[in-house]
Amino acid sequence: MSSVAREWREVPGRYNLKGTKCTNCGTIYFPRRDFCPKCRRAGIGKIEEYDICRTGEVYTFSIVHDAPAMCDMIKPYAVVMVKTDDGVMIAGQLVDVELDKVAIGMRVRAVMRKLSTDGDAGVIRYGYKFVPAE
Amino acid sequence: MAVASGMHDIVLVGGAEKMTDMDDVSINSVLDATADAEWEAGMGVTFAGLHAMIAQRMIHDGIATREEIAAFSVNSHFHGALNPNAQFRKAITLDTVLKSGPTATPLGMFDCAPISDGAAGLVLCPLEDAKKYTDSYVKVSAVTQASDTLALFQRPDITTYGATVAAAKQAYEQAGITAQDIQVAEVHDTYTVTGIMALQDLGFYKRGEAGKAVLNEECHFDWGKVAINTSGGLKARGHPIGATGVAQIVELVEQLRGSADKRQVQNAKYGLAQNTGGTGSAVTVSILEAM
Ligand SMILES: [Zn+2]
Repeated sequence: MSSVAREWREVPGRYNLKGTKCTNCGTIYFPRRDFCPKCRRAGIGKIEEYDICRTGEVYTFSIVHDAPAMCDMIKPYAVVMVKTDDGVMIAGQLVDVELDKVAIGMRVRAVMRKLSTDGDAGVIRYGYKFVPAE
Repeated sequence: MAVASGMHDIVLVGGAEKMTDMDDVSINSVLDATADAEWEAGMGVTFAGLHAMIAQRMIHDGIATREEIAAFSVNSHFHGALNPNAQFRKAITLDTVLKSGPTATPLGMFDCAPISDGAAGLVLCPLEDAKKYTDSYVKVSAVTQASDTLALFQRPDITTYGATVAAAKQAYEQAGITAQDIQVAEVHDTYTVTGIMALQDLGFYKRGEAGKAVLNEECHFDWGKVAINTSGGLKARGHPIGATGVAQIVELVEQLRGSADKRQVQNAKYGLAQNTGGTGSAVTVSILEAM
């Protein structure tokens, strides 16, 4: 799926929704960027670590019936794009929910869950999923 | 470019794919990898799921209804039935699409391009040499390409492909025409929803009007407006990935030569082809002109 180096570099984002913020223009990047394409040179040295807000609402969704091998055991399941309360868009699964209750505008929060079991060695990949928030 | 610059005298362009050597789960994994493997596919968000989420948001925002989106498949099959080289040569009804088994809601099986085997080929040469070889050649008026973020969720608006808009704008400039000058177009309907988006992003219809036109059968070859996917599109002609882009051009050539038989668009002067990679992360637009 990706190189070992890339896998480790992206773990903080996947476990803790860590992104970056350009303090020059205020844009938040998730997954992280160490360079602001809007500010270019003006943004160099002004990129800070940023914890993405873990709550937000469903911007759009789908119930996936035709699943990839890694999700075959859980199909059908809900996928969502969530707009977090600080305006960042994130794609992921919505779990612990009745599928016919999923709707645009629904309040959700991010939790850490098992994403998949990789390869013959069965290494478990963890990362964020969303659950309904009260 | 290679022949226009004089680097080559003649170029043969071929595209071929045999997808049926793999099972459907493996094929879907390959398709998923054309989106962002880590932050989309790695989260269980499938390629169909991404397109389904575009469709869901379009419906929510009032850009197109579920029926209007589904109608794109009906249009493709209507033309596929008239194309002896199409994979599916059978017209279908709206009900068939709406009642097909769900792949990723709101999209069903009949919203998705099939798994296909196929091949297509073209011969390119400098325009001034074409007469030496054939009496029925067409002119390449524009070929452009534009790109966008790999991940769909990183874009400011998921109901439009910025790369299509950018590539089309450049192509119209190169050809010295506007969207209104096109009589026939082949657009990349991997999913019905991307077909609807293409009609808007290419400038054929305003946002919110493409779906209505498709449902009203205005994209048929004989309606008089721009005819869409007269080959049957990816849905009915088939989508052997490596051959699809060339096959789109082949259909435009048939139309501009006047050799498209039962699906011939009358007085076709300009044809446009739009080809998409991933969820619009790379788009090419080509414009051909009848000679
Ligand atoms: Zn910036």
